Amino acid sequence: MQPRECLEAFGFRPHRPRNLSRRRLCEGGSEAALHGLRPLARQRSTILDACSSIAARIPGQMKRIAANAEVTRQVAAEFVSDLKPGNVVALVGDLGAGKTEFVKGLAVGLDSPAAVTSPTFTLIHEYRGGRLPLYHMDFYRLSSEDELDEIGFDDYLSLPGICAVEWANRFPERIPGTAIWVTLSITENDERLISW
Amino acid sequence: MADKSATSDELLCEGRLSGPIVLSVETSCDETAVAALDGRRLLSSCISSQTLIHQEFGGVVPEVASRNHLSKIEPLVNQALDKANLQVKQIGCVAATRGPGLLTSLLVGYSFGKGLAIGLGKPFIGVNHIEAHLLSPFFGTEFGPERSIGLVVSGGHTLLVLVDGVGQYKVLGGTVDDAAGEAFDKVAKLLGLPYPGGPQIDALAPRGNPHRYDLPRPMVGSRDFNFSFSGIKTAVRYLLPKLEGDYVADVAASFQEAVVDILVRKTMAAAAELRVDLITASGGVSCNSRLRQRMGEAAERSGKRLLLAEPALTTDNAAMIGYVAVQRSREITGSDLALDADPNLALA
Repeated sequence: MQPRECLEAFGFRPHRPRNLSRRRLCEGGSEAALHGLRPLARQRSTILDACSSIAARIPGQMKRIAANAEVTRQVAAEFVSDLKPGNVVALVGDLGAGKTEFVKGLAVGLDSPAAVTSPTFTLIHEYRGGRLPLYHMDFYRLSSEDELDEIGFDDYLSLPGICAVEWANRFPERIPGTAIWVTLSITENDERLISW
Repeated sequence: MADKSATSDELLCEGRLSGPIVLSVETSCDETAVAALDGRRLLSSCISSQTLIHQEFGGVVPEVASRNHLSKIEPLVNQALDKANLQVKQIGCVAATRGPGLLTSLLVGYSFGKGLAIGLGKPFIGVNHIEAHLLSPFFGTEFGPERSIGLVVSGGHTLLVLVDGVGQYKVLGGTVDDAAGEAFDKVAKLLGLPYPGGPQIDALAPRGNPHRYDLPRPMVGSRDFNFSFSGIKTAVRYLLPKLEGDYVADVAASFQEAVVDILVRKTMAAAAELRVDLITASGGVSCNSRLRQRMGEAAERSGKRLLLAEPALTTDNAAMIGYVAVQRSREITGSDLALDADPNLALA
């Protein structure tokens, strides 16, 4: 069963995950049983997994604090384990917030041996050799939407890999609705708050 | 940085043609560029941002068109031929950048080059963009590429390479995050300076105190030949909110000193460890006046020879592509028509 079907079976709306209390999960359990699902006791862990998986796709629901660049990479490496071919990761954050470090972590999580470097000038880097190809892009230097066509942006979106886009908020209208937005911000203690 | 168009003409030579005419095309990223060489000398070198801007658009090219290579390549080829006083049929060999770079950009120049070569019935040579930067300091020398440590440093690349002749390269190290030129531009932006920021910092730095702020030198003590510049950028970002008064020139100078320090120390360390007597520097950042000065001093202290790329050849251009084609055409016969453009083309 897909996570979304699982949640819908329980009558939950995915954009209101705060309502996912244990009590309502149990109430929904009997409803699920009516739909011919396995009994709740055996389903509980699956349901909780599904919920967290869905919550992970709703902006701002998952938060991590990274004390340094290495932790940022670790967070990204764990994050990427849920991703599927064709997923787009839209990265937002100031200069020095750790967007490129995050993409380094994505490569690590994909078991890619590639040396990830900033694509600010080169615009697109392709890293192969991992579980999935990783397409690393950067909108920092682009000043108009037309330039996305010139760099072949949409072509990359349709490839069976992971697209990670730095400064995605420069052209949010060109980022697919299914993309996962990851925000990195610098805290007062010079830590990084990573949310998605 | 120096005015490219002014120095470009200084590289041009007058006199009789020697060797077959090579027409070279470069479209790996932003610039569309075409050059003509006669085997030894540069006959013409045209770059879209310098020539077409003024002549065809009557002002500054809108940024929108920056990578619109398709509309610029044909007028540039005609212009390069005109400037060199050549007819199309005189072309003896066509060369184009094969990679690395942006696939959509590479395809324009590479396909155009192939088509021209097929139409003329002449050989075609695909050239590695990084190799072209790496060998550009040898352009115009009496000798060809020889054993050396090459620092390639630009907005998109920062590499240290051991060169043992044409086609004999060993990458010693590179940046693990931002390229050096990118760090210049991003720090310039933090300082509120206009884009591109590299030349701005270069111009401001002499008015500042390079020792005013103690910025980190990441990885300078690492035992490898890798670089890291992202940390300096972040250090500047943390520093700025704490400053008051007139600090821009001091920050620019301190930042530039930190980057130059790392580049010079790593390059000299590579030359010392591998016992190489010749050091070269190329790419857009090699135009930085403080880097040129410090490299000169360091080379003199250690008794090494230093070859710096001509300022006109430091940013993306087609002359350096043609130079590699000339070097390679001496060793290989035949054509690279069967090969495709490769955005991830490796140097070695």
